[in-house]
Amino acid sequence: MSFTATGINHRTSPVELREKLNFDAEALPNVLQQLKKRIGGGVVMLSTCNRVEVYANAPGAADDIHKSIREFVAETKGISQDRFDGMFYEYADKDAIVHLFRVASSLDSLVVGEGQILGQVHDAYLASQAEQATDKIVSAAFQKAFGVAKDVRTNTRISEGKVSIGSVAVDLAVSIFMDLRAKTVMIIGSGEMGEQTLKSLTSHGVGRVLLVNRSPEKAEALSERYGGEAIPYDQLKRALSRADMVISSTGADEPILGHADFQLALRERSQEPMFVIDIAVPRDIDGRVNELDNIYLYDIDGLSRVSEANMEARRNEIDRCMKIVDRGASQFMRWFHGLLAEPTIVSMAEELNAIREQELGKTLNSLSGLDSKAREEIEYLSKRIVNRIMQRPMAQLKREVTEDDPHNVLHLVKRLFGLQESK
Amino acid sequence: MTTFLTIDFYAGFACYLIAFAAVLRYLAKAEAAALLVAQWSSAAGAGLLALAFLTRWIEWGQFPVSGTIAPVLMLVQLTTVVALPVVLTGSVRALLCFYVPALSLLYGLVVAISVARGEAFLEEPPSDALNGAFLTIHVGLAFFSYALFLVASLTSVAYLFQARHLKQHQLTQLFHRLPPLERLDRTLLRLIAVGYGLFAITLVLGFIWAVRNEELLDERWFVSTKILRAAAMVVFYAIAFHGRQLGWLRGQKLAYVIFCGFTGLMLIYLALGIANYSNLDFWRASL
Repeated sequence: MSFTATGINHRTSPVELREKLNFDAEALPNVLQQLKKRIGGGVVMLSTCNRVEVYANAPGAADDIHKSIREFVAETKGISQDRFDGMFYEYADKDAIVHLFRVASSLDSLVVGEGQILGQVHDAYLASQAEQATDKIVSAAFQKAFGVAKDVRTNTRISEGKVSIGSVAVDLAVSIFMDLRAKTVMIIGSGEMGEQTLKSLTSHGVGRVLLVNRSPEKAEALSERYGGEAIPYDQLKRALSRADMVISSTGADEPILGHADFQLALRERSQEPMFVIDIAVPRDIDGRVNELDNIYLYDIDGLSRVSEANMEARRNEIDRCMKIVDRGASQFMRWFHGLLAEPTIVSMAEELNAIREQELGKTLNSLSGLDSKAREEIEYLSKRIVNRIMQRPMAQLKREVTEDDPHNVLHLVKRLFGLQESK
Repeated sequence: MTTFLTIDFYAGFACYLIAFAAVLRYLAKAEAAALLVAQWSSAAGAGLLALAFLTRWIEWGQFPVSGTIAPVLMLVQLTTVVALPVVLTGSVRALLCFYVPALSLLYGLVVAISVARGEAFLEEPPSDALNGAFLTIHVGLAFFSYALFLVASLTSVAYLFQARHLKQHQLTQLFHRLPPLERLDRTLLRLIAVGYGLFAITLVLGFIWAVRNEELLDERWFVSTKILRAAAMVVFYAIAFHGRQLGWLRGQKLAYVIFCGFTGLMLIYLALGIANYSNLDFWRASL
């Protein structure tokens, strides 16, 4: 049996190819059944916009399993294997486990530390389980992967600090306000980035949206899209105190809001904090506004700096994360190799018991005058001797097979005792 | 009993040191488990201190605070009792990074004094004249109010830390693990509201006791240093609380006022204590 990981991702292949090889959720049940039939073992398929991977535990050599999976993907998608020649990565045994754990822990993601991938791995596993396409080893590997991913997220800084501008804004908003649902966001202008930031905030449940635009039509259009209240541009300064968050992205040449405007707004709000995002270039809001107590102003450079610092912090955490991944993979491999030894141990016990029964039969036949109690005593003695002989080699064998390559040890034991192939 | 109290005293300090080391580890490695260690160690330390006070209470038959060491230890114990629910209610163990070092430092100061004196937590009981349920409630409430003020002061440091990082666009790992500014602000408000209320009640109780027991007090007891500093404290928290409610003392300004005010008042206490002026003109000379 071999545990393998075969696939392509954003590093090894272009998006055009990944699009072609993508398996959608509807087709997955059928695909899993076919794949399971083809390789004859447990299988999970992970198909996202950044990767298409198959994890399998199947009989035979790892190279044969990789080959079967590549052929299956090519046939199912109607693409010649030449198209993805050299783009598939192929891992076996511990390398495959390490890869799975890295993927689940978001160390292999395009944006390292992002949280979405763990959910996707979980969904892929559940889909496979629903089709009864997993087996004991695959299930254990994925359960361990979830545990390792949780460990990585809890005990390192890999997921701390967001990296996209929209999510940095949300991150900053939740570090100022307790509950975004009770807050009001005002968007000034209709720049693309401003709208994206607004989208991020509304998807996190911001309670109320105020839309200010020089063009009433644009304000109305945005208002329809986000269900907010359109405010005439000339009412901007008067409405400012109603906003807990302000996103500004107009095309104005000069600042449209200054120190005094926010000072007044703060007074009207009883100094309740305001979070101000100025994404416009040139800037819409006077930089001195950040000097006011209870106002936190971020322009595009400020947001980018936070994003870059967060990314750098995540990169610096990768070594620590890999230690957790390696430790988890080693634990899993010890358990996995222990399973490999079980059939050999069973064969060994059967072989020795067969010899015992044969020799016991001969001895009891030659001692015909024995009563039944004496015969039972001799049989019990023979069992005890075999068990004692077995005890040390069994324990040692379990220890030995936890090393990186258990197959040599198992072959040696089989040769020594003249055992048949594992059952 | 003395041996037991000595062991208890040092075991309590060891717990706070473990909590402090766990906080340092958390700051260096960001391991969530380290904060759990800090939480349980400080809880164990507070438990050991409570045991010591209970033992002493049974031994003396009266409220077990006298001298200089026991009051500080009681402040450490009660502050931990106040701080742990604050941390657990909001699931913000990272606040321990602000609470634990201060408490460990206070405890360390007491240990240093004890070592210099060659004894641990071994002071004489207060005068029998100061015994009684009324005074026990008065002193107990005063200590609990101080504990609330100390937690408020440390929470204000956390607020200033968060606000400063937000202003300067520099977000550290501790920043990401601390609660939002708004939560810190509300916690701060609750702490000073309850502390201020309790302290006001404490002063009223103390005043009633003083009027009933004027034979124990100096003729000018109402202008003694003890009364003046208590009055200063209640006025200070009244301004802070009502200023926050009215909206003219909020956010960083409130945090600065709470931190600087509490530190200033404590320094005055300390200076009066060192100069032996803590109770100037309060007790009758014969007591």
